[in-house]
Amino acid sequence: MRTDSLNKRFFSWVFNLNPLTALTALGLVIFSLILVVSLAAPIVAPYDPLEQNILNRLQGASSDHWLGTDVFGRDTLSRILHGAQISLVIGLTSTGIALVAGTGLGIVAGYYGGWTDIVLMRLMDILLAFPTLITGLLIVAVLGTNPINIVIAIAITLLPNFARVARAPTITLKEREFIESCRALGYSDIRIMGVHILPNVIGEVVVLASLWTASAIMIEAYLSFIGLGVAPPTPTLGGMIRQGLENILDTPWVTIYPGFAVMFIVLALNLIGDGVRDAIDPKAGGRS
Amino acid sequence: MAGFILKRILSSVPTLFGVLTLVFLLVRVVPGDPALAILGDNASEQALQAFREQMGLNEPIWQQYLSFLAQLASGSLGNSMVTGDPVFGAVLKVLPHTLQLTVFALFIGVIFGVPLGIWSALRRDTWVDYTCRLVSLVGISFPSFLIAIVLILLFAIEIPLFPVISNPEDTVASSLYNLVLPGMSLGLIMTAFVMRTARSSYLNVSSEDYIRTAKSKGTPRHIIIFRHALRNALIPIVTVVGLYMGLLIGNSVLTEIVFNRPGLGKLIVLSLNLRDYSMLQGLMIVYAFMVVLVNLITDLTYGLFDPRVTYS
Amino acid sequence: MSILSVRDLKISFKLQGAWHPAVNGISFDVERNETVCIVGESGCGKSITALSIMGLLTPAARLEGAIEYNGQNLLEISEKDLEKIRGDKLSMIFQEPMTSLNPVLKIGQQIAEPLIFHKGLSLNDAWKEAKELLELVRIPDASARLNQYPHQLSGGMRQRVMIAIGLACKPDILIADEPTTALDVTIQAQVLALLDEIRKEQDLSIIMITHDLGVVANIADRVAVMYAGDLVEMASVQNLFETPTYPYTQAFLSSIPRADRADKLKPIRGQVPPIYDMPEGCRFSPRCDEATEKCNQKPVLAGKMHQTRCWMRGEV
Ligand SMILES: Nc1ncnc2c1ncn2[C@@H]1O[C@H](COP(=O)(O)OP(=O)(O)OP(=O)(O)O)[C@@H](O)[C@H]1O
Ligand code: SF4
Ligand SMILES: [Mg+2]
Repeated sequence: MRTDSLNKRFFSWVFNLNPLTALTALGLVIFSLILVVSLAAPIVAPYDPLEQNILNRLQGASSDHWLGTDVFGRDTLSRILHGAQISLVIGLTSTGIALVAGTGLGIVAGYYGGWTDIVLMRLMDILLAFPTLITGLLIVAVLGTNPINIVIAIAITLLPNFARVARAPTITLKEREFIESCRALGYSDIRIMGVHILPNVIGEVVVLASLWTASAIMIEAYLSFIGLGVAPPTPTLGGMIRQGLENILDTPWVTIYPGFAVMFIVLALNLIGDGVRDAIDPKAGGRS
Repeated sequence: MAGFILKRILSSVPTLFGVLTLVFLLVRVVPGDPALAILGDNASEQALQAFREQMGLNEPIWQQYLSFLAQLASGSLGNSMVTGDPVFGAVLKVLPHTLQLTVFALFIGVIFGVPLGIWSALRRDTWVDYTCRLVSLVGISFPSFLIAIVLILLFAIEIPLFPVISNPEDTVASSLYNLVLPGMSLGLIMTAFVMRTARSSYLNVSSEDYIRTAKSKGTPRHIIIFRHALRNALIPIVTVVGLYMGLLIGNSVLTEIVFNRPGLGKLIVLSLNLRDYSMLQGLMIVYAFMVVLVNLITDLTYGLFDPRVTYS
Repeated sequence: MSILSVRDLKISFKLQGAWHPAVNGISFDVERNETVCIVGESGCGKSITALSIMGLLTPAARLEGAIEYNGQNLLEISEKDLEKIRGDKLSMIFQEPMTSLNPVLKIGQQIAEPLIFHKGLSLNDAWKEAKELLELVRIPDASARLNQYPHQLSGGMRQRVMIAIGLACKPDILIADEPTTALDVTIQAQVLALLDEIRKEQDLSIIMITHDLGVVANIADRVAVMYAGDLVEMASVQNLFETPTYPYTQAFLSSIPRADRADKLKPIRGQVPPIYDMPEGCRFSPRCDEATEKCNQKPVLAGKMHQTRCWMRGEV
């Protein structure tokens, strides 16, 4: 009886599914798949991504090399899997750091107001005064191209966005009575910010996080394309694209495949981001 | 108006000052010795010393900072550490190429993005809308070098309509022609961004009370769309387009690399490779200046659409 | 013949897969040069009734019945034909003066529009006409105001502009949905007096929606009382105030603080049920003190001059 009605509910859910809800689900599926496969790259990749085979260079797709080989005869699929792993790890950690630091700064600026606010937000303005990619580019150039520096550079690029999003609601929240009464009860500022403001701010921040993870991954690809990514021979998607560009006329797939790998990761994140935002803010219901 | 512009410029002075300081510090904390980096490992100690002397690298940092500011105040961005030529001149030489590229892309983005976004909104929840939304979502997910590569493969190699690599010495007509592919590659991404904004902005406007008022007057549909809704919808579109200009200016670096096109992006990558720190420093300042300028233009553009904005 | 005749109008919305009537078959007539007030609690369906007469209701709503104007059923004519009538013969003033004018168009343009579309005036002539309209609604310094934008006007001024737009083409019927709610009391009285004056001058019929009984007493010839999507009582304004018959109207009148009957103040118990959970019979029965078995069946609107939809009331 019960399973029967459950089945019915499930089918009516599937068939009444808004095409866009379906797309959000698709985004989640693609992203999870890419995440699992790329994290398991050392196990699932058919070849060692660094193993050169000059005799087998610039091969097209075959049953041995599903996505062909590059100029050193390295297996493209294996390199894409390892490159995606680096992209995802760098993208997720840098967004995570930006989220924590940016939200913290935004709440502190909004909560204390006055000079704290002015100084912190001016700093954010300074960071925003550079075109997105340029900030990251300069920081990596100065600090050097190791993975940690790249993470720091991307995190600093994204940080002002989180700070702004967290600051605005903090300012309205701190005027509310319950915050006043917390103060009257002698709660410490840290406690008020952490226990009473953070939970009210975090929703909005998290919605945007998936969209900014997409930006982070894009920036990582751009940096490694420019030559400021994780240093070769470690495979990165941007680096593979750059290298393939030299033989673009004869062997376009060497650039195209990693290019589409970046696109799919970013697309999946954008699908999720749109879906989450619509779910949290139904009034905007598919408005953007 | 002039007063407003002056006030806006004055209000961005602290930010610009912060930018200058940040750039100065970043370039000075560079690990390693610029003299060594530029002259190479087998330069003599004398040559290194002479270079440091010439670039003022031996002075205490605060003195370097002061002379940096004094130099800027005299309207100079200094000389390249590598070639010794003025940075400003080098920037001026390539700036038009980057400006052409970004303005062209902006143009494409607005020309296609606004109508498509509004079409999508007018056909909300039909297959037109779903297609437009999916296409624009794919568009914003496309890395700009990938779109550039796809365009090259399609329109320069499969159907050879346009040149892949542009020649900086060309005439106006041919430089426009050289602009098409690089400009499209950035412009398509811009189109996707503008489409999304235009759609959501139009939908917001179309449920406003004044649109209902317009209908209650018996106003024909096309006049409601173009006169009543569109002008209001353009206001948020201007904001967002201004924001995305920053993205566009940044992404032009990639386009210039793929198309091997002269411009600020190529110059910055070159300076990075040569470790030409004075050039980098000057470029960063130019970039920040461009962003400030874009913001100012955005603010001035509001006035075209929104009578509530006053410049006083 | 009545200028407007609403016949068995039913407005339904789809909620959780089923259609629910938010207006449940109402009928009334509006005569030439008469003011009919529609009153009732918030959410009883006043605004959607007005919007459906204008053909401005969201396409998500399902409309049944007939709305006859000049012998044609407005529910059946094409959108193009409706466009010709809207703003010309039928016009409407909305509740929100602050948001009902387009912020980026000049006042003059907004008033001139219907004159250009319906009367075929040139922009120049329409502009002159607009100036006269502004004078008609007592806006001082009219020619300067024409060149201003809505944000430069106060709320009361904007509502006058809305009235000027509504009156531009000398319509037969003006529907006003709570036109004074957003205004302060002195301005309210001025606007109402103005409307009444213009009605007499221009042989206009007004459908005034309000839940302010002061407004009703001031301006109405006849009053229609709505409750939860039903028209429950309709009478001349004297009859309604002196001898309200429907239990809801009685309670409604006595729930309003009045100087002369301060002692009788008593709120109506309970709440209006949501439209997906309406009782089968009389929709007021869960809150009615006089309800009996019979009230589980739907009562009909009975009576001639003073109509009431209640099993417990005969002809009045
Ligand atoms: N788009 C819609 N979808 C679903 N239900 C709606 C919609 N619009 C109106 N309704 C329903 O119709 C009912 C009547 O709404 P209406 O706006 O006519 O009320 P009203 O009498 O004008 O109230 P108020 O005095 O607050 O203006 C509401 O209770 C609401 O439930
Ligand atoms: S019909 Fe019955 S329930 Fe309805 S108002 Fe009359 S007495 Fe009350
Ligand atoms: Mg209403």
